[in-house]
Amino acid sequence: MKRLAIIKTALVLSAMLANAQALADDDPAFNVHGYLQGAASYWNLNSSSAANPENIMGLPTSMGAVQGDATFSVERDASKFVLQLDGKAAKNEAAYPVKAFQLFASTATADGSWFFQIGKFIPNWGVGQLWNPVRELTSERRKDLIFPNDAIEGIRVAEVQYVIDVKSSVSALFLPGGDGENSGLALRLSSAFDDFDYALSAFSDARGGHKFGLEWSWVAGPATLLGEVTASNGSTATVVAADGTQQARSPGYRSSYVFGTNFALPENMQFMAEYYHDSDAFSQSEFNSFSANLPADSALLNPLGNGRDTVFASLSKRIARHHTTLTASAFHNFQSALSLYQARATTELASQLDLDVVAGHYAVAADHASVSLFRNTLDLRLRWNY
Amino acid sequence: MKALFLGCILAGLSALANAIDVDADKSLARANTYMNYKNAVTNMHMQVLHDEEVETEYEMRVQKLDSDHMRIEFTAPQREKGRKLLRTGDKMFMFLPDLGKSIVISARQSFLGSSFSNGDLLRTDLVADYDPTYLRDESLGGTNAEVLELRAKRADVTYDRIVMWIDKASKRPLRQEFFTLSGKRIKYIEYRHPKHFGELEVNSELFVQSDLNRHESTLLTISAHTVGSILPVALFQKDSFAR
Repeated sequence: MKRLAIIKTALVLSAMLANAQALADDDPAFNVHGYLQGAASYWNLNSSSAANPENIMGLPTSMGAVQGDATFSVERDASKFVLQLDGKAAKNEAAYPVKAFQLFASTATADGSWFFQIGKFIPNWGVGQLWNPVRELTSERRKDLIFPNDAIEGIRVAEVQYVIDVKSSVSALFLPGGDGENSGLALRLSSAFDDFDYALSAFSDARGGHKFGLEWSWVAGPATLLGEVTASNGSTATVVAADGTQQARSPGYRSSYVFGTNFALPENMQFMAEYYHDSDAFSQSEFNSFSANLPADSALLNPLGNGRDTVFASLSKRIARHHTTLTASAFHNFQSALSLYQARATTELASQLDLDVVAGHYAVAADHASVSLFRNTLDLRLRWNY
Repeated sequence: MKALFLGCILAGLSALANAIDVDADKSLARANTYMNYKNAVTNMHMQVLHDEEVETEYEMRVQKLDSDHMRIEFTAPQREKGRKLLRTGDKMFMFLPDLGKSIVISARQSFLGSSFSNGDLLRTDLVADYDPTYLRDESLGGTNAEVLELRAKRADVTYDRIVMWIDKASKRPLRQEFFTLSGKRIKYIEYRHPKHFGELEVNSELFVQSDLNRHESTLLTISAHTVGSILPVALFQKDSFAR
């Protein structure tokens, strides 16, 4: 009987050891992943564009690029080292040799309550899917609203985070600045009250500017409501006066905010909408001055309209077959009366090989001067993930 | 005739006795215990099927602090590597590694285009979300089962109504069918192949078939499961789960 009990115990311990080993073996310490991508863009120009009459900018009607991205990571216990390299060779588009999008090291205490990270990376702030005024506190560079899920370059920062409990944490970011980045100190406190999540943040930069932020999200069944609000006095935006001169925006606190919702619908469909007010962009009178002085001020042009208030809405459907997603979306900027309508399809052509096709149409209200550079666009991307 | 009449009376009394004997709350609680462990780490393999052929496959590591806190990290394929999901209380988040940010997701959304919803995998505490009622006993695949009807306690729960088959002897979940408020069945899950991992027994296969699209189904397989090591709370905090 005793021998049987010993054998049984040994068998159980062996099984537990094998199970634990299986779990450990599934988590390699060294990892490389990334993608190679070919992109082609075609468009017809807006012949009545106030910003580019008769194509004085000399814009081409197509662009092409090949891009490579590789992320190397090494992990041991709670410590991690990450290097993400990205490089692009392009025709008629800004190219760059290989650069580090992210390069950082991190570690944490054994219980995970204290976390330290230093290097170049993207601080995980904000709740908006498209716009994050709270992340602008730390001058994050967002590449392209047409491809919002593209990898983006990090900023130089050191972060210390303390997890108070499962609901709350506090973070401090130290930004050294340089290369066009802000320098200063940012603090963030996040917590939750039932289904309501919120975070408060503050940033003080070396020039004496201050930015404050509030972000929140609330889940109600299939719907999520979210928002971000910021107040800052350090704007470096340029505006166009009525006489056509460019000048820095007057000092003082301004507020930017985004409100949005996501709604899960049947049949794997999802609706998303966001409204963004960018205090650095043009009011209606400022936009009128800007458009009246085109093409002289075309260097200030934002392809999605320079006005302060923009709405975005999209309806997407995910089909498991071939990882396919179909999306219809629209932007509208109120001050410029510019709209962009898009249809998008992403699908897997073969294992790890994805095709992304985006067709766009720019339109402007009949009683507004058109500042858009384009009429119709077509973007094709072929990406191999490894 | 008299014998037939007495036989019917006895059968009715027997059914009534069975019904009285079944405590739906206790049955659901025991089945819930079978499905939910604290401080659990599980490796899963998910196959999204179209006409029974594998369309897509995923490898995941699932860490569960308790019924309210769960974390899923994708380890394969490469496209999804680094993506993480978090459930904390009634909220769910997805971390997108390329963007370095988290987005809020809904329990009712499809889990990566599979026939599972996010709630199926992240919200598994049926006692917290549903009120059970005993319906009947039934034989399911040769196993004596209790059939319970589960009604949602709140509007934000994943499903309005579930019918659940539970092994009468072991209280192991066998099958669930999911219904809308209007009574339309939208899918079912079969729990298969109970397997021991150490001293723990779990259903090692979950198969879900969509009624809305009969071509679509999903198979989830558990390859490893451990319980016991205390998991760091920081893993389940919204701002640190993406580390």
